[in-house]
Amino acid sequence: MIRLSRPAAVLAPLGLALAVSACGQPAAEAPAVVEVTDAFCRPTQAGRAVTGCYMTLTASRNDRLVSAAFAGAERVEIHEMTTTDGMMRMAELPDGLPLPAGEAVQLKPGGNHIMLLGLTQPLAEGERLSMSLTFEQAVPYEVNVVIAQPAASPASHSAH
Amino acid sequence: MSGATNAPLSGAYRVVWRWHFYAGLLVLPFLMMLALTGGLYLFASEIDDLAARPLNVVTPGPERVSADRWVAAARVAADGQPVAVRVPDRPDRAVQVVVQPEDGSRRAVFVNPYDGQVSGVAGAPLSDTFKRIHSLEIFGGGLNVVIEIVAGWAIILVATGVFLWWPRGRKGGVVSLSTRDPARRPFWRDLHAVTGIFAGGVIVFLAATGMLWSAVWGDQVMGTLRAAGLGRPPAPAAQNWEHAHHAPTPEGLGWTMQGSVLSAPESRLDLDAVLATAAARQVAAPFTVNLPSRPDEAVSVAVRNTRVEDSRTLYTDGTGRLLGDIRYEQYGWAARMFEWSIFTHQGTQYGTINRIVMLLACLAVWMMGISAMVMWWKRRPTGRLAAPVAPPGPRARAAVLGIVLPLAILYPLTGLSLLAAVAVDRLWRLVRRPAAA
Repeated sequence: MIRLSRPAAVLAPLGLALAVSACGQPAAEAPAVVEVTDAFCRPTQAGRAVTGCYMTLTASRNDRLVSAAFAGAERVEIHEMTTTDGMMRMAELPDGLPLPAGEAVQLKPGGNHIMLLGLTQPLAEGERLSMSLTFEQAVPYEVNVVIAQPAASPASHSAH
Repeated sequence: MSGATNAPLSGAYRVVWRWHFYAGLLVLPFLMMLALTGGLYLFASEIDDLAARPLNVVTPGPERVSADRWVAAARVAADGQPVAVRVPDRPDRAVQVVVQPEDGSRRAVFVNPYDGQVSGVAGAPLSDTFKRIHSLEIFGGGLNVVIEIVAGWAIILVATGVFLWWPRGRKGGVVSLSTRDPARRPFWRDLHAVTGIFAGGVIVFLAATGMLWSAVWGDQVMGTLRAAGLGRPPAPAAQNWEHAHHAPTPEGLGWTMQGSVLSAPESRLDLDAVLATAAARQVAAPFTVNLPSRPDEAVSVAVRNTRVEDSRTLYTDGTGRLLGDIRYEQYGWAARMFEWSIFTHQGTQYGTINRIVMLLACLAVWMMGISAMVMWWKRRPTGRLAAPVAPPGPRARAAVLGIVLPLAILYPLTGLSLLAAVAVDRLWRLVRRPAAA
């Protein structure tokens, strides 16, 4: 049988309930994150120390791809392709590549891309390299990039 | 110590009192917990909105960016599968994208709809914790049956309480206090009785409607009604409706429609097109867009309504093509009644008045709980439980059975717990008798 020494004992479950309710997860400010998918670099052509890399970048907050770096290349540039008067022009983006929040920004053959210049050794299909990406907001990101021809690029993981 | 009653205590009175005492002793802590969490839940939207500041406050811009960008930004921020999008009714509030990471938890990602920027990520809102304590779900799945038993006993408490309150020629303590001196027990008895008689009806309503959520009774009743076609309409495309065994429960589909998903053949998802369809059909925010977990499932747009009459769910395929538009008018009578009871239980059906009445009932439960404890404390003999003694006689037993039996039959779990209580009571008296003699 239940035996209570004092009325306060009846309140014990309530105290417990209050204690539990206090552990509700508070909302936290989200850090800027950039998702990188479908990253690949073309294999180098014989005798050339240059190649292009492609990927899809989606940012959680308005961001900017400021720079990319690869240990096996002298320089890495972010290139923009523009068409003026029917002419395709390639130019380095001095301020980096804008990444509007939630927009899947595609770097793709024939479009914007990352250029590896002065490669110390050729890149063969099937190999992998590690490239580090620096953003204006998000923390620097190390991407594992496969060396592949565009046709053989990995299937899209995006939800669209 | 003399009671407040002038009439001599009849056997029936004493046996009902005894049951009232035991029922109260067992369920009072739960009832006070229910009143506390329920009372807080009445203010769920305000509390959650406040708790999410400043992440959920945005500056309205000229126009919204593509909804697909909200979802993509949220997916990136929370690293999981987007399952729903909550569109607010206020222009200065963030959209919430519900994202399910691999661990199966659910996070709400606040996204500014005007620029697609994620402002923050939150777990379940505080109100969800209130709700899960309210249902005891937070302490484990099976404990939900306890709430069903408690609800049944709450009705028994009100019924026996009314019996005890019945004036029988008394003048004081009926609808007003007979004394204003808190040092005296009659003050607490009157406070208890007067509060009870005003709040009793609401408490019975809350207990009876709360049962609809419960594990055994609620499930049985709702299952039967749904099977009888008295719930929400199973159309528009009956052959496409299936019971969702694996799919998580979509948000806001309402009680009677839970477990139903509509299949859509289209696999691509264009959220802007879905929202355009909702706007064209004049679906008013706030609403929740449930994103399909499988490509062949429909998108549902469920209005987050506060009144049952405003219930509405739109179904589209991934391209926004309308598959169904289910409104309150199409509900069966059972769905109308039960969902009305739920909105009323939650204090939203009739606006502010509704909320005030429910809040007062919560306060009344606490007032009665405290006054009950004070009463018991003031008349306690040392070292004993101080339950009213059981009077002999079949007539006394008939009085309590008349109150309790119908409820025990209506609510089987309550009935079972009642049988257990009777057995313990018998056993106790058997053990005690030789010692007392």
